Amino acid sequence: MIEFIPQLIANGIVLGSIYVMVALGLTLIFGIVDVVNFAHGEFYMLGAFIALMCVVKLGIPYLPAIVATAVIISVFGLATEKILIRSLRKRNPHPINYVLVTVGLSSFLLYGINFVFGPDLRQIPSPFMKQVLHFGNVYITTHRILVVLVAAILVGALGYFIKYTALGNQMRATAQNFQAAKIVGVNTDRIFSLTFLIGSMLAGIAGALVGAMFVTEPTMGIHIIVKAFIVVIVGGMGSIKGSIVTGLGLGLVETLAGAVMPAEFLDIIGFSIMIIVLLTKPTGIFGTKGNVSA
Amino acid sequence: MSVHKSGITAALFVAVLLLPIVFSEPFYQHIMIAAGINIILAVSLGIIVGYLGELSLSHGAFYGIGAYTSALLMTKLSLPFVLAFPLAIIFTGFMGFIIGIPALRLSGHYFAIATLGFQGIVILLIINMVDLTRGPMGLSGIPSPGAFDLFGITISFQDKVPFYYLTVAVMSVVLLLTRNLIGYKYGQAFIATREDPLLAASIGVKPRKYRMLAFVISTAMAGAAGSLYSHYTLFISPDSFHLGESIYIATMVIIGGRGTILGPLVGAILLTTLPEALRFTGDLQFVLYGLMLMLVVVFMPKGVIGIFDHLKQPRLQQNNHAG
Amino acid sequence: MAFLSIDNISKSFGGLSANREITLSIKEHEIVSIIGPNGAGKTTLFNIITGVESSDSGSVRFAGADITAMATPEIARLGLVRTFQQTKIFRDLTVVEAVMIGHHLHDRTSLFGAFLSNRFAREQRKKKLEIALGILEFIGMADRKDSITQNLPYGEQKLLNIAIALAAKPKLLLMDEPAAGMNPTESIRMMDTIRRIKETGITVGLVEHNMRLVMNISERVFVLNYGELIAEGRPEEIRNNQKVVEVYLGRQRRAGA
Repeated sequence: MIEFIPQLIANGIVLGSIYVMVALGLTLIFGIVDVVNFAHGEFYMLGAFIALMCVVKLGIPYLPAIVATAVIISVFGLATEKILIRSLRKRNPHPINYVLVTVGLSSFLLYGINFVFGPDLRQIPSPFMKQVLHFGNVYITTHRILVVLVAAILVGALGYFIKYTALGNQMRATAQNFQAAKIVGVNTDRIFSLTFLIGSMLAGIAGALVGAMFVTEPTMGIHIIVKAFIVVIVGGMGSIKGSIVTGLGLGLVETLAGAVMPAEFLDIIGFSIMIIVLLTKPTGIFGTKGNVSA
Repeated sequence: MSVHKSGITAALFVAVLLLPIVFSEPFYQHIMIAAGINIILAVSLGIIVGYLGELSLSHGAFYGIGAYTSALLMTKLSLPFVLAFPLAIIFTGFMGFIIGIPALRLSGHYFAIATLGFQGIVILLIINMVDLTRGPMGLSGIPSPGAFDLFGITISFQDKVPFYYLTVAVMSVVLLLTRNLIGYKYGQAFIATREDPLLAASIGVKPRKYRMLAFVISTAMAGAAGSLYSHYTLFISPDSFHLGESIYIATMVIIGGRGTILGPLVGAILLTTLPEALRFTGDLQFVLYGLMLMLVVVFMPKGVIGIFDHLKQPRLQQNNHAG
Repeated sequence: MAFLSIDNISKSFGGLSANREITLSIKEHEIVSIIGPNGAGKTTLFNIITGVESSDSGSVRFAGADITAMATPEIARLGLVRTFQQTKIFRDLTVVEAVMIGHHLHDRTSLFGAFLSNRFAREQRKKKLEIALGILEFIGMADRKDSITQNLPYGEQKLLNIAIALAAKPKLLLMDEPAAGMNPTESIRMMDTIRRIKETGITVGLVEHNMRLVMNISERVFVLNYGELIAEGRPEEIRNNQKVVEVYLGRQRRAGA
């Protein structure tokens, strides 16, 4: 049994990387726009389908397809903020309204894709899935290495962006104190749009990667969003570090414990921990109130 | 209630009683029963969403707890329906109390997420406790409420028409209880807690107490709906009570119009009959509901019945007419 | 015996001292005012008394009971009610419905009674309605009874807050800047209202900036500055108190006198 552990750890890091990418977008939107984006899982799912269409229908090679996906999904995210979220902000900004409207969007996208593509399971053809490397008794496809690599690059880029660029600073300021940020001249509307753009892009890229590694199907968003919520709440809303640590942690724990425990049991524990954190320290392990920190 | 309103209500009630005679096909009667159960679910969730101003995403789970409890009480303990039904309601309300203790300490989107967590936990537990619930395979062979003799004729609740009247009876009780709850002291306390908890506290309303009261009553009613569902379909599985169901019930409340009793009722009827009318479109209708939810939340915050603004909920002061 | 006694209350927020060992008491049937420049700690003191915030040290006693650790609803149950500087009131309700909610503590309708809509429940509701209408009459808002609260102008919303508080049948009513944002006419009307409230037997405590109002109706005045009680006494004494004058030098124009 013990000889499997390195393999499980490797798998856990891959899974964790996916969770990190999805959670990052959600935590930014949470921390900066103060909106629970229930449709975040559907951005992930859309990313997978967009990449699928690029590769299969348009004949674009896999890596450029991921880039194309990132661009297209960003537009979706932007449109969501500009049309849906902004309208609500002007008219009816109660917190549960954002939940409701994103739930509606989630259904809209999920059943829409289901209607167009059908519920069948598909897989995005990726050349990296065919090459398997091995280190000792750990076998890993190059695709999985790609996943971890992309996650690391995105995390690094995002961290740099938040910490060292003007826009990144404005995002942090908006998260900390929306009114004060406005007073000092931050265009908060634009920052909100940017946040949704970045958040959806991260989710879409993750979807494009997973869609080749596991499956592409309309309900894949629902499975990931719940995990993303757990990561975001436990790791801390707006905390990039929190998302990284908790996302990787969740991936590792699920993979290692999943070898000996039934999946439902793990999920129950995951939910329970999320609820406990909500009750005791709603800002999460790494978060501080109203902060986006790298 | 004014004479005018009582007249309309009475007429509507008679119409409801006559429905299965007018629409005598089992297909339509099935829809009417489903609508009745959904009305109970929507109106009860409406207490939390409309009067407490919170979104609970765990209503499907409580619906399921009621269904499984009632089914198991009849199958495993051989209790008659007249006992299983109230016991299921009480147990579901009790679970509402237990879950409410942690959940109601939160509010806004944190509360919504916590209820999402509890929804997940309950369904996972149902799936996992295979010895009791038969897990994902579901519970079959659930007995119907039974049969009785009336003037020499045997009336069986396995027939749709008697079950319809049973559903109407439960639904009417739920509507009446809700209307009275809201119309007197308690509804006011809920609204005060929702609108301005600090002001409410300053005049003696304990927010925690009233939030818990609303939550327990709401979940107990969902348990009643679950019991009815159980003994109607005679087979239940976790698939009927998952997050999708919670979202479906919430959609009824929002589209119909939150903050009233009539709103969730209209929403339930709409979202029970529309799927039948739109059955030919397959899954496209769900795209429509998602779209409707978005549009209503942004553009019609009072829901469908907001269009008919003069048909308000019973105002707390009854205009000097006999209350 | 003092009706309300505050003993050595201290409170600081992150190093900043909002209240520093404040000791004062209010006698039954008095009208007292607490004044002081902005940031002197007046609202914090109110919040501590009414259970909205907790003090770091000291105690508060009301009508013989120690209310230091009590929560706001329990304090209201004892008869201590406060109004707020800013309040959303109860948005979609009508004025009379909002005042009826104020009577909550005295509505003895039981849950089952409500469910069954029995005679007692209906009588309690009718009684609440009558009391609410009476209070609206008393406060001069009877003609607004069916207006939606959020449509009221600011001055009337403050009056409404007072009406709601009165419906709770307080023994001691603490009002947080009741005249804030009011023009001279409205202030005079408020003064009169406060006087009439006291005449019904209610003890009144005010936090106020409007010096004319304070000097005109208070029987005693307490002056806070930087969290400390620097003076107390009758209005004439306070007006001539050197320390108080210094504190307000240059602020007199803003005090709305």
